[in-house]
Amino acid sequence: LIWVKSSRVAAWQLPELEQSSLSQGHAHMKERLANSVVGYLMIPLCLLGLLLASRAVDAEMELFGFSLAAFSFLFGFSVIKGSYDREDAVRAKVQQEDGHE
Amino acid sequence: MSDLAHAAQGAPLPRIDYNEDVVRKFIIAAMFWAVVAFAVGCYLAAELCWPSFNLGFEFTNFGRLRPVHTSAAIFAFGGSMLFGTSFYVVQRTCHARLFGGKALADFIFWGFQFFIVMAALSYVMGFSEGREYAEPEWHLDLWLTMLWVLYAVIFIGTLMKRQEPHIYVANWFYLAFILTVAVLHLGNNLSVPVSFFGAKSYSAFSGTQDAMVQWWYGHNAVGFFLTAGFLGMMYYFIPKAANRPVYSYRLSIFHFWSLIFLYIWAGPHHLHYTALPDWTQDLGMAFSVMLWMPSWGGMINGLMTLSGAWDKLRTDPGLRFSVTAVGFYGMSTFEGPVMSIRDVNSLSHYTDWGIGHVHSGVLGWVSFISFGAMYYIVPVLWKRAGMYSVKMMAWHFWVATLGIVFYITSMWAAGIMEGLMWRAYDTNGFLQYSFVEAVVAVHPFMIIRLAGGLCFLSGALLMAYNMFMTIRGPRSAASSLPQAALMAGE
Repeated sequence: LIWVKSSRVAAWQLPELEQSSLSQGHAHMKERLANSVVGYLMIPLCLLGLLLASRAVDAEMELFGFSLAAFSFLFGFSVIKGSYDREDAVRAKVQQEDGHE
Repeated sequence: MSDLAHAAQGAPLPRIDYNEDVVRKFIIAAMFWAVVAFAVGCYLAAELCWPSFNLGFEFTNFGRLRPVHTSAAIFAFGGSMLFGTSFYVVQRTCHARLFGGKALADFIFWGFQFFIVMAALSYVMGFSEGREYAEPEWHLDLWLTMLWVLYAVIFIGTLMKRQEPHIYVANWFYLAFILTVAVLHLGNNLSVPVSFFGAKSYSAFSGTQDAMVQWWYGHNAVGFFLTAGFLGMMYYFIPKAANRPVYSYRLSIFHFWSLIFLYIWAGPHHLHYTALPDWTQDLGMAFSVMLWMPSWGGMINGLMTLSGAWDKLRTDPGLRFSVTAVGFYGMSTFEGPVMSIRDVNSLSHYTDWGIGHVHSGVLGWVSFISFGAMYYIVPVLWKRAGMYSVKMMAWHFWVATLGIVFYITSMWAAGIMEGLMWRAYDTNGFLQYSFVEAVVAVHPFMIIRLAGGLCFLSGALLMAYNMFMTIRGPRSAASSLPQAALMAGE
């Protein structure tokens, strides 16, 4: 929220308080990047799970492979959903604050 | 500007958006797994009393369910508590949000739960490396390694971006737990899979070396997973709940370094009277006896933190859990070195005394310090004025304490009796008792042990209900949060 609002003006125009808000904005950006990396990590994990399941020589590895694929798929989906949910929440808050102003 | 600088200028601390969501998840998971672990334990205790409880299925026999019980208690319950509280403590004491973002912390949580479920399923399906407290096969070991590295990245990353100049002692204990368990896990689980697409693997070690590596791991799993990590919990939550500073910060540092240095050498005491060289057994015994020093130093530090606040034990059952846990810590860390002395070990080894000793540590120390922390942290995390029912907390305390007393006294009696029966000779030099006579003799104690376990399980169920009702209850105003939480800006 702070990052979205503060990014509308140049950094040098911001008062001291908003300068620190800008650094918080960078922190939010870093967090989004980290979340993306974790989300992309799910792709190779899901493929690995499918590979293990397809070539498994015993029931345990077959179960593990399918479970890993399902886990990675569901977790990746939750990362994507969480990302949109957070953006929606920020957008709603900004609109609410703009309404008050 | 650091928090100290803010405080010096009288300025309010900057608000940090802590990642409490992952802590909440771990606390709920810990409660769930605690009930599972205790329930499976009771079932196994019933199997030992009446073997017909094996039911004739391979997946319900003692051999397959036993690692489910130990893994659920140590790794699922204990591990979830350690993950959750370490994430809580490192954020609060460093005044920084968890490093790595929400998705990474969530991945640690869900990945760890995935590991627990997969490990439990593999045990009941009959797949095991056959290594004490390290039963999962190679593919699950690799999964846990990945999670552990990411966990270390989050924890160390948060320490590195801290806003406080000092690293609080609880974080030192958590850090030692994370780093040492990583080394232990990698060393102990070196194995060769039969096939990349098969679950079965064989240890890279053999014979005595394999036994040595296994008990180097096994004893230090107790030392660093079940002791160092939970000491981190003690050093944060007892001062918080008592609203008093740590009795001696210098003693806590001494406690830390001496524990870290000594514990790692003590493993060979599990292999007395084996093919392991005598000098190695002696080394393990000597270091075990030396462990009295840090263990009791830590216990005294924990107990003396209550100086001037002992009256709180009457009104705060959560703090009562924590303080009793420290008492059990002192007791079981006294008993352990005694049992490591070779002559005592000749009586106690392979008997139920060992089972009693382990449970006085896990029920009395690990579970009680966890319950104390949970009773403190749940109202703080869910912004409630307190737990739903203090009376229920008190009932939990007394039922669980009674359960531990039943458990450990019956196992002492059974163990010493077994040891004496096994070594008894008649005048002609023949064994006086057959093995089955010793089994029959301990039967009443097995039933008392089951009663103790059921008491402990009942207490955990009370706690789960109390926690559920607390979370379901109304949010409180900030002014009604625990005083210590308010002081910390929580």
